[in-house]
Amino acid sequence: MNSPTITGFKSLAEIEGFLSEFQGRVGFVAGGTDLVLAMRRAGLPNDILIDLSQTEELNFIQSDGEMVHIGTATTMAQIAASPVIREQALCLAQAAGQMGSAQIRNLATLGGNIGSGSPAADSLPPLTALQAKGKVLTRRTNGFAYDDHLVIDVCGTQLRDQDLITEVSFPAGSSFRVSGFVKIGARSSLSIAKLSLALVMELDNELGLIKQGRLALGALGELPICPDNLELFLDNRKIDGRLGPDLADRLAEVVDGAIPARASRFYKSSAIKGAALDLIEQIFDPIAGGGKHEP
Amino acid sequence: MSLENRRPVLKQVGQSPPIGDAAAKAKGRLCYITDRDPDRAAHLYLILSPKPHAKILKIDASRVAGHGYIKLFSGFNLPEIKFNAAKWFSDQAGIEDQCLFPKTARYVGEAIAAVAAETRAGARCAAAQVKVIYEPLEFVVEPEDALAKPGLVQTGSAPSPLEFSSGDQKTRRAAFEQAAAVVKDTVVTPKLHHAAMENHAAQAEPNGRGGVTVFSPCQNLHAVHLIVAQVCQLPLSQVRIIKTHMGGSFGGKQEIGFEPLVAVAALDLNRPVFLELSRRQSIISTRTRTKTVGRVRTAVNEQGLITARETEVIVDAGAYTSNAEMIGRAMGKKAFRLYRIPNQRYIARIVHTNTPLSGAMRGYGSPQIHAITEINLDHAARQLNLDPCQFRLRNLVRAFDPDPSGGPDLGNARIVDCLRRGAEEFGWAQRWAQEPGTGRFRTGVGLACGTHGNGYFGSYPDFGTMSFRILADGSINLNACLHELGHGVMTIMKQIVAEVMEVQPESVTIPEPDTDFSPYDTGCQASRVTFVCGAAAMRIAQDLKKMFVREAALILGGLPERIAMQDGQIWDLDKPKQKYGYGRMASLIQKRSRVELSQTLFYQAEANPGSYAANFVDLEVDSLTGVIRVKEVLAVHDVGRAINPRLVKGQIRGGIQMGLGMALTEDLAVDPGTGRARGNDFSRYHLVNAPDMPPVKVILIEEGEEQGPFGAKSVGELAAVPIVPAVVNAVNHALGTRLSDLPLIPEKIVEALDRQKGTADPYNSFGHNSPLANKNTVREK
Repeated sequence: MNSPTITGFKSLAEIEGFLSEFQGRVGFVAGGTDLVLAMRRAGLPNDILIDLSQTEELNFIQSDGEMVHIGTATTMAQIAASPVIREQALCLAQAAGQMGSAQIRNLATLGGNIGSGSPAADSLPPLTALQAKGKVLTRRTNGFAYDDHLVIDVCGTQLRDQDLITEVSFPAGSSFRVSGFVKIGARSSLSIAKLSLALVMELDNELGLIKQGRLALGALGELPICPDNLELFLDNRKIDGRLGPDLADRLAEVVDGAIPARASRFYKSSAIKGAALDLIEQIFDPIAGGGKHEP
Repeated sequence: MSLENRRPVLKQVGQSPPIGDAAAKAKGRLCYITDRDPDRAAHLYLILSPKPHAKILKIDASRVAGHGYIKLFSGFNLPEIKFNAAKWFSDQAGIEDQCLFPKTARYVGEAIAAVAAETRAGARCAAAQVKVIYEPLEFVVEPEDALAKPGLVQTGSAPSPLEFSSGDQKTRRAAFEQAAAVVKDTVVTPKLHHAAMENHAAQAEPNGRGGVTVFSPCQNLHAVHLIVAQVCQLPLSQVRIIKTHMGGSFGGKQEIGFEPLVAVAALDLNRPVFLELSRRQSIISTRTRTKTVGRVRTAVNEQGLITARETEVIVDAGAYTSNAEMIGRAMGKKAFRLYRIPNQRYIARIVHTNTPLSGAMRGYGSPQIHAITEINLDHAARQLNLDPCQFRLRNLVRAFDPDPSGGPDLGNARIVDCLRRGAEEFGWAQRWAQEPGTGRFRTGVGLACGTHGNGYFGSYPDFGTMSFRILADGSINLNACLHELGHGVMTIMKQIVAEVMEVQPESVTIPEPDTDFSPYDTGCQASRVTFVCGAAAMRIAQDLKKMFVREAALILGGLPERIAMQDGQIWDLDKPKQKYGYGRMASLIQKRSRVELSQTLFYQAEANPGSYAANFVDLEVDSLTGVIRVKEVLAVHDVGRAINPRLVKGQIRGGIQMGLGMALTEDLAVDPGTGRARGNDFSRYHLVNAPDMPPVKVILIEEGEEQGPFGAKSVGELAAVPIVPAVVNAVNHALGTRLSDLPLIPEKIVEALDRQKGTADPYNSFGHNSPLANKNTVREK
């Protein structure tokens, strides 16, 4: 079994400096909640593991008014508890707060959740709905130096082996942004999502309308699904008692279309209705929802 | 009259001291088997079959290099000695079809070889380099399919069907013909993992005299002794088994696991050998709860009395016979001990499948047979438009009823008290009368009853020996073959003997067993320890107390009837100022009378009453997501007398957690197409965890059992029994379904509701208008 060397650096510049010289196969570890399991199962192909938890500048949450920035080594527990995230992107705080157990959330990081590439990763639907971008340190195709900063869709397919996501950012919302996240798993906590749903909306309170809405479904495919027709459905939609049921029916159609041949289609097209109703109730009527979806 | 009013005031029994080793466990000071680190130990790593059924053509270790590799053990270099790892006493009947490593793999996860290396990591890496060539064979996963393919998995002698009956065939047939209703069901119970915190592990070392010492976290030391000696082909005197501290079992360490393998390897390598399984290996390569398919047919007359019942159970042994016949027998016995059914027939058919082995698991068939029969009884009540509680009350057994299948009588069976008291406390009648609703969330209530035994009396030999001594410093030693599994058996035994001896429990020591020093006992299984061993401990303490009084009277120059004992002191009532500590008096007796205060007792169980329980469940079903939220559980248990009420309630709450998992979430889910268990690790095998646990209220019925210590009888296994059908019955009440294929995972709920389409409005959250229906404004952010 391969046992990679583990090292750490105080700054991102030091990581970059090291990587510009290093010729071998690199891996990254922060919380280790996925990586340690993979290592136990089959070993690791890497020559070196860089421990990002030692690099303090990768652990931050900031908002500059236009964008919200999150360092890759920020833990799920920090994201769940962050006033900035709860204000600007409650859906992400809720997803982070429902991931794994308290012990896992204290270690697991946002970068790890994205980088592990699980179709059921909890942070991906909220990040997709928030139109998040990732800043990535990547190895250039013509050489081995880590000197090329890319900005990618964090939930896209541009991430490559040995890339390092250093930061995730998404546009700050107006004071009329609301959002929410619902996950359906085998139990209410410590379970892998069978289905997840994130919704981000800008509201017009005076008219009682959704000015603009974006949603993303997780655990249906390798990447979150962001159906365009539902954005059209949400935009300028009146907020009334039919919102939940109508959204539920449309989401069921999305599920049917996304996984037509999969054995789980029948279940998921029903369960997504429940997720949609819970989400709308949670966003517009948290008291009736009993706060049960709060992280 | 309640027990409290009939018995003298007790000082230790009825108190709730914590489990004796709890603090050491919490502080990490207790040494488990994996904390042992013998010098020069070789480590084994198992090679598991990825095939459900395949002839092993070749196991090639020629490419293994480095990693401290020592040797490969397989069916090609070890003798094929057949055994049955579920046997626990010499000359016990049972088909012997297992061996250390087979030449035909019979399930995915079966250990087909083991690599020995200097380190565990090295053994694992070396195992990855071993190449195995298989020739795939036809395989079968589902028990019903296996019935049609006898001899596919095991070609040797097949277990015969088991049958028990009461009444006669003619009257049974007439009962069915004349019944007001005949209610039929097929109930399927899943294959489950025990999920003890400690994975399976074993160590062995040669004793230097041609024999071997094995360290094992087990439930039955003497069973390990028998099987290790058989496989190593050594006399029992050359095999020593030492029970280690253990992190739980729930039956998973009752049958013999890999102890014979480490013993054989230690003898072969002439050095200590250590094997520790991973969680995945523990799930698929050890034992599971027996999967069953039960078909039941119940006849009920116009008065709501059950007149006849026929139950046929297919018992899925897995790939080897092991304890499947015993499980089939145990299930059948329970079917006759809960309701007064004049005509009854029970048949168990044992089948082999290409799936992980079945074995003992909390309840030993009780959760399965009660799921089968109690789900059916609820359907019968609904079909007859009867309240399930009242229906059961008309039919339940009463105290001291006989067992119509010929077993020991039921003892002070208090199931009627359990059900009446529980129904009152739960508000059953009112809750049952409430409509479940037709909206998205449906509410339901369910109840079920259950019974379990108190040992083996009536079925198997149940006996043992204990020695009890007062040492020269006054401390007390009980040498018995008791196994602490984490459930507190040592604590309650100390309470029992401390009560008799008028001391504090802390002054009593009870060692973990070791075959070189411990007497025989039938083992920590079959819900026998409190009732059988506890009664023996009480008797031997009473014998020693008599001896102590007699000897002290000689020393004090008084009459035995004038000797008093209290709080660790002994004195002559006529000389109240001359009190002696037990140690001082024991020393005087040794010095002056040349007598050791010691007793040895050989005991045999002479009764096997039933323990009883009724569970009540209130839950809510989300008709869209299929998610079930259990809101409340009430468990009422007839325990005779709680020696330690906190431990009793802890057992019950833990049993409820296991039963909820069996009813709702847990399943190895072996894929019929591949033979692989989908639930082969904890990310896909879902235990009910703390956030999903409902509040569990426990009520104890303590009416005493004559032969139990201070009236006590068993609780630990029964705790996991009635909850399973109670949950299923509540779901069926909520949905108007007849679901009976466990576990009731959300997918099955949604599928069942789809069959009822048109009868409900899932967008109606509360059976009335949605709270959003009249909303046209949004909350301020």
